[in-house]
Amino acid sequence: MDPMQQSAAPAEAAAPVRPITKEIGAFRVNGREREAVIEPHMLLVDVLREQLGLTGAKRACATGHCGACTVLVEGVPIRSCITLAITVREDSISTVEGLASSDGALHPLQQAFVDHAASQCGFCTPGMLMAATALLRSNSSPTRDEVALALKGNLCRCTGYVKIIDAVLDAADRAAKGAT
Amino acid sequence: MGRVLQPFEYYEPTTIAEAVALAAVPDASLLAGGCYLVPGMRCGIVRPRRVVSVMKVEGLDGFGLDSRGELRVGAKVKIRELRWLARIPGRAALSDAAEKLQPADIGNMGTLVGNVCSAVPFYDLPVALTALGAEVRISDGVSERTLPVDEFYPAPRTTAAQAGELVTSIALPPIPPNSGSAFGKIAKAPRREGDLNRVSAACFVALDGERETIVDAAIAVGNCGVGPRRVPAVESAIRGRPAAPETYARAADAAAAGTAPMTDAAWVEETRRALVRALVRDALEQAADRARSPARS
Amino acid sequence: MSDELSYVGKRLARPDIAPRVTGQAEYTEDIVVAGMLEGRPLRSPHAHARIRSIDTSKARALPGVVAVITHHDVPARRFTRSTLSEAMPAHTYSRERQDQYVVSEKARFIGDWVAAVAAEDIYAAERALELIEVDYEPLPAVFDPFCALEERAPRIHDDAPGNVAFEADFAYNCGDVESALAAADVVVEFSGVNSRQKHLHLETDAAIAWWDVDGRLTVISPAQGPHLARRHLSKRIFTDVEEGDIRWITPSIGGSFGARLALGVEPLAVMLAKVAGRPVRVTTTREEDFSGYSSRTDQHQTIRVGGARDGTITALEQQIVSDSGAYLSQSASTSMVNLKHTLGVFRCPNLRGHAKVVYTNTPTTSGFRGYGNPEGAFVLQQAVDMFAEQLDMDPVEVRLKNIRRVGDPSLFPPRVLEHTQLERCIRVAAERFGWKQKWSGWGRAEGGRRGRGVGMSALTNTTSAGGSLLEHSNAAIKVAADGSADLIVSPSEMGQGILGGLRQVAAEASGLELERIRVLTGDTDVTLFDIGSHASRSMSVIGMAVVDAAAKVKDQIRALSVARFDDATVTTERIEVREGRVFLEDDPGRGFDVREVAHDAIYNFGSAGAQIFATGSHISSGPSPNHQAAFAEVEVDTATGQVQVLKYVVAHDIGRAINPQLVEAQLEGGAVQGLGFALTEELTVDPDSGRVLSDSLFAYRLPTSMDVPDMENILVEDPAPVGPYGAKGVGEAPMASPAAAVANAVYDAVGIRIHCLPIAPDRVLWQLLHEGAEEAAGSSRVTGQFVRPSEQTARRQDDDGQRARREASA
Repeated sequence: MDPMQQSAAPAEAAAPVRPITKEIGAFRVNGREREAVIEPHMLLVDVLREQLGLTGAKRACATGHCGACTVLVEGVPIRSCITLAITVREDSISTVEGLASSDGALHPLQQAFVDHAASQCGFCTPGMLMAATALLRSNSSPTRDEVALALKGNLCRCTGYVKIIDAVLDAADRAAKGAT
Repeated sequence: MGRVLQPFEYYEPTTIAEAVALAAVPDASLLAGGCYLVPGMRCGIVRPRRVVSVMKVEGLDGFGLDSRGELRVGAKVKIRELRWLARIPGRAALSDAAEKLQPADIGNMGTLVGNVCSAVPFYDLPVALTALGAEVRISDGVSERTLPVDEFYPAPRTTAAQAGELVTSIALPPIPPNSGSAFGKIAKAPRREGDLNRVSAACFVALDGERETIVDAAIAVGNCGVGPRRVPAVESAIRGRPAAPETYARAADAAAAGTAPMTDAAWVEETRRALVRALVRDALEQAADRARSPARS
Repeated sequence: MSDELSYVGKRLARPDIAPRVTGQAEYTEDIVVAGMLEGRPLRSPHAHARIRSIDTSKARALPGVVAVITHHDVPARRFTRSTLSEAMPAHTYSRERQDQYVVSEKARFIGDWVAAVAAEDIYAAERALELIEVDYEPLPAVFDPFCALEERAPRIHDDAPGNVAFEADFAYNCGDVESALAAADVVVEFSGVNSRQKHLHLETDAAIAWWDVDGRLTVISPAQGPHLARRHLSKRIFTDVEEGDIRWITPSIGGSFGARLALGVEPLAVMLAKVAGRPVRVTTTREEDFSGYSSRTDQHQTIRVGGARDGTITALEQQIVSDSGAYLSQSASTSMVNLKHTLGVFRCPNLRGHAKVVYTNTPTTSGFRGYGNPEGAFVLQQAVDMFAEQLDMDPVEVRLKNIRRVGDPSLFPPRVLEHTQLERCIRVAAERFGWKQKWSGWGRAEGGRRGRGVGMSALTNTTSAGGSLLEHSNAAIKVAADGSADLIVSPSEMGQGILGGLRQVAAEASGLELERIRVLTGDTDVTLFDIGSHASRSMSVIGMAVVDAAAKVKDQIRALSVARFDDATVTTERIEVREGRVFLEDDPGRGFDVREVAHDAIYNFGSAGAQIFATGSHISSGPSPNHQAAFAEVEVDTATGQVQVLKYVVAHDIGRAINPQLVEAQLEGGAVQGLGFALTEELTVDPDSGRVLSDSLFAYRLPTSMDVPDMENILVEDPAPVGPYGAKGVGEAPMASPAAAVANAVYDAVGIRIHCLPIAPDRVLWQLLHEGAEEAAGSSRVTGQFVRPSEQTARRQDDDGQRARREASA
């Protein structure tokens, strides 16, 4: 029997709390207020992709393993494929679409990925970039080993990770040298 | 196995009493971080008609020591907070297990209590908690009861929490001086129905003042049954023995020999026991080494 | 003409990488087609079962459900999933077994499709699946190929007696292996099997399809070879639509590695769209992928090596029994390609190979990067090392003694090997690795919990399948009035960067400016025929088609430029075009931008305007194989069985790197994928139920960023006679070596030989605990049954006897 389920119990005690059915989630996504109609069973990855048109975050495993769905919620990397959208409806969310600046200039991490050929099929790239963004915000000059450790939850099938790590180190390096 | 979840009733109570009342109906589930429940619902493994979130309930986010040195981890505390325990050798088994979680982001989303309540037989944190003598604090909205973690899984994928109850915290007992702990795991392929995808072990060791003799020990073997399993016979056999490789080796042999088979494939069980032996031996040694390490603040 | 190249050999960014880093790249599931329904398949919970009846009434009644199909609704025509089959010559094509319907009439594995639903939204579609009532009659099932071959085994396909899906000799058997083995000074035998490595392309299978009112069919999916795919669909399944009336769009592909050389959910989407009268998108889950229809084929092999005391190999034999799963996709092809590669590395006058492909009630297996070479290399390179050990010879020396040289037969007799730098690769890699310092002979230091060892492999890998497949590619270049150009090609860009590489080749050969060349691909209405990307052929064959088109474009530019110089002494021979500029070779200061000529070609108010445009084509009739020599150093923990790769050095004979950065990326990615194949990736199937046990990333372990060893990929560049600017293919090369080199290194470290991939901790432990015992030879993946070499011999003698009798009576 599923552990999270309670077995049949006597009559339900009076429960004044009302259920949440549909909500209009006013997400702050990439710095802008975006609205979406959210039902409790909807996954964050689907709301982002299908209602907000932000298809950067990908469905690849939907068990939270591979990281292709990684977005930042309040700056913290989470797996949007196992997140109920309703649980983050009051939080700020950052996706890959928000990395480039408004005039289209690539974020240093994105530019580094381009320069180092760190993206091949590209399916893992958005999640990888968000994980790397979170890393560099908490550790602005990581070692190679620290980058590998920080990215170990983001699976890539194409690159073998070498150029991804090169790119992240390069972006950190450039930022340290003051180039933005 | 689906792409999406099907609709359910969803509540965000703010008190324990509200939460247990809402969850006391058939086909209801409590929700913390959702790392097990959400993909479980997607895959159709669990099908609650009602989901009750604990994440807005007041009073469940405590994480700290009380005056006796007991460490309480409230139900809302995220797994990533456990990294602080790496500084405490006697509790480091838990930070080991948290650090080795794949992917690490689960630590940003999942809670320790949620992980324990998921009752997934191959989860790592309950194994570490078992070796550390952890207890589960369960509330029905009025009073609390306590259960040792290794008594929390009466049947496969089932916890001892009843309808109308929720786990408010996990408590780790005060640790004696000169103690250390460690956790390790080895991934493997599941080879038969009922086989799991890893083997793990966690050990706790307390040494005497000279740090030569084992005065207390706990060994937990994980992923070899319904839940983590202590080996009390082995533990009492090594109390009083020197903290040295021969002791670890003999304890590991005994722990391995006592590992119940999970399949009827002889080679799978033989290698499972070999993995248990290696893990217990290494965890005992690492725990003892940590017990000997200089005291840290 | 200057020898210096402008673009070839340079590390230049791909034209299609920016959208990948901004999240704008469009993959199939990112595309929304107005009015599209959501489709989902219903899968069998039984490994083998007759379908007595299916009641879809409740599903149809659910609000939002538009179409429900079962076997009764689909064309009564069977097909093979493999779209690559359309590139086979007639005699091979006719052997490709057509064995499945769009939706199955009988469940043959857990996960087989028995129905499908299309609904207004995915929630309704999935609820509807649960309302379909199927009355199954479970049948006895078989999960191991050797059991499936037995007399009393349940028959999986009515028209496949003995559950044999395919069987053939190696196409280039030669000499007399039996006599040579009898006369040999040393004979060794080794058996092994690889695991069903999952492609694990991160993008799960999906497709969108719709029929226009005029009968045209459009399919959007990540197919790897859409021209072949549409032909296959038209010829085999939906025969009332002409090939040319199918438009196949391939958007960005989230990885493929050979999986998409076979049909995925496209037939379902097409069928549902037909019934529903609206566009339908079919999506799948990762769980469905794990228990689905693509993975490397597990090939059970026995290899015998015989030779002389001086190390010369005089006889090589390889017997393969492959597990096709429930249906035939590419298991036959990969088995034959295994024979070709494995028996093609070393010079040897006596070769014999045989492959038998068997049905089992397990998920369909198919073709995966390397396509038989990695499977065989793991067994062959260990057998060769065993041979070397018997002679107390250095493994490097044994390889050097026996590798094929220029003039020897190639992988595709009667063509000879025209180019190889394998010897150089072996020497360079050995030196960089430190082989002489690290390898201490065939004895082994005892003791210690951890053992270190080194091992190597030397391999060849085909580039294109010329001689076996229709190796036909076409390209076109059109130049706009502003001097920019469109390069129209149809490889399968699945991350390898081929579009960037081909653009570099186009720019180099045409003289146009690289940055002003756009690449058009991914739409069969636009692109010319191409069999697509596979067999590492994209650069070496499509590249030649591009060179052909580009050279013609350059000729047109030169011809049009003559008049512009307004100088009677200027002829086309003096004109060069380079990086978008037309100039005189002997007077480079005189010239102008290409755009002037391009403009005039169109804006010609006279009577002689013709846009600069050319097509090029190439049909390859023979491969230009690449070669690799790999060296691995490992540490084995004898207490846990864990193997850690400390160092991995590979040298690749690749002809020329058109874009060294992209080549490195391929080699690095392939090496890590190859190490996953070697050490951690294992699709396990329960031998009693046939259920896939490793159906999530919890259990199926992909390499992570923490699993990359200290690795060096050395590019050995010596331009080959075939291929643009001397380039050979490189896509599959890195996959084959890791398992072979690591397996040999494990033997050097702790004295055990692993027979079953991956080299997993529990297998290593078991070998260590049972070292020397006869059963320690390993086990077949599923039942623990090990086919002893003598059993293989017995079977083969039986077959030989039968063949001899047939021949005698013919």
